[in-house]
Amino acid sequence: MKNIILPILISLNLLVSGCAVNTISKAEAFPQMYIEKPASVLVVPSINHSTAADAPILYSSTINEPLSNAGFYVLPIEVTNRFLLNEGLSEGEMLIDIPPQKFADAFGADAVLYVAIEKWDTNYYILGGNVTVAVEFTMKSTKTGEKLWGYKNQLVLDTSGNDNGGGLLAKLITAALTTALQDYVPIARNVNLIALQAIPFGKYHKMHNKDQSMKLPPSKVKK
Amino acid sequence: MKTTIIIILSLFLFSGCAARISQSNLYWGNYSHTLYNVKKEPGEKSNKAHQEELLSIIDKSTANNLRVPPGIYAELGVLAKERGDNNAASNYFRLEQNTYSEGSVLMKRAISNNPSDS
Repeated sequence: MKNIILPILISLNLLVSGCAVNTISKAEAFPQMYIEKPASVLVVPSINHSTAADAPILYSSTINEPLSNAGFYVLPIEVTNRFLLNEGLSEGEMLIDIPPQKFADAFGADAVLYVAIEKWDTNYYILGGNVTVAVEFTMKSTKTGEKLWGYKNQLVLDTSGNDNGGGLLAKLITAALTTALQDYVPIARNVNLIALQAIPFGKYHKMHNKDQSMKLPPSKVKK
Repeated sequence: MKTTIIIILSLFLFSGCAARISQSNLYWGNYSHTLYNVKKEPGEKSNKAHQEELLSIIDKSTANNLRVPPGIYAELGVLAKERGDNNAASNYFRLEQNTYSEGSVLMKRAISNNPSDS
């Protein structure tokens, strides 16, 4: 009996610690961020993989606030976009092959944020519908050109408005959601907010350089 | 019961409208909405609404001893430049640079791109 208890306990311990491996911390996932500590970030025009032609322009209006709130100095997008446009660089796809280091001299950027819009859709089904925004983020160093941070997030808002017997409450929520259909801002906002919880906070954030052990949502981390 | 639900919902809805200061000590007001409208429906009306929002954010930030958020001054500079007021534009770009030294390289470029009005 004694001979098998120890192996069982060891196996259980391995099993349990095996489960814990999936929940990594910010510092474990993104060590370079804590070494380089980029302060200024250039957000370049988004890469559009969605079916909505206006998605990149609309998305560009949603990123300054949350990225600044995450503690970074976001180089004013209205200014940088105009400079990029003058160089003929109006679309995200054109920027992929440019070494990030070029943006250090041109704009004084410590890092570049690339955003790929995977989905920016309103989907209609027979009995309802949903609004989907899906975005993939990559932040690269302008010192080394290496990836410092990455994240992927999707939000689906079900606008079916089925009457589940909630009465007045259900009707009010349906009305609010119908309004949301005309405005992607709340949805894009939530996508940004959730994603930016996974970034090592920048110098202006209260938790800057103190958030190393914050855990990341395991399923959506992109190293 | 209905009244209770309405009251709870109202509180939920209105709490979103209350002035919020972020973890980076910034106040944004309605910035994302007015900027979105500028992109969604470009023109005089949306520009004006966004301009007013930008100015309001500066007022409230100053009144509460907060830094003006990144880009607020610079966006006013861009709007001024589009109106043909290069001096005002340069002044706003300088304010952006003074608030955020990380923006110096960019703002210097923006200012040097601005021929001053004679």
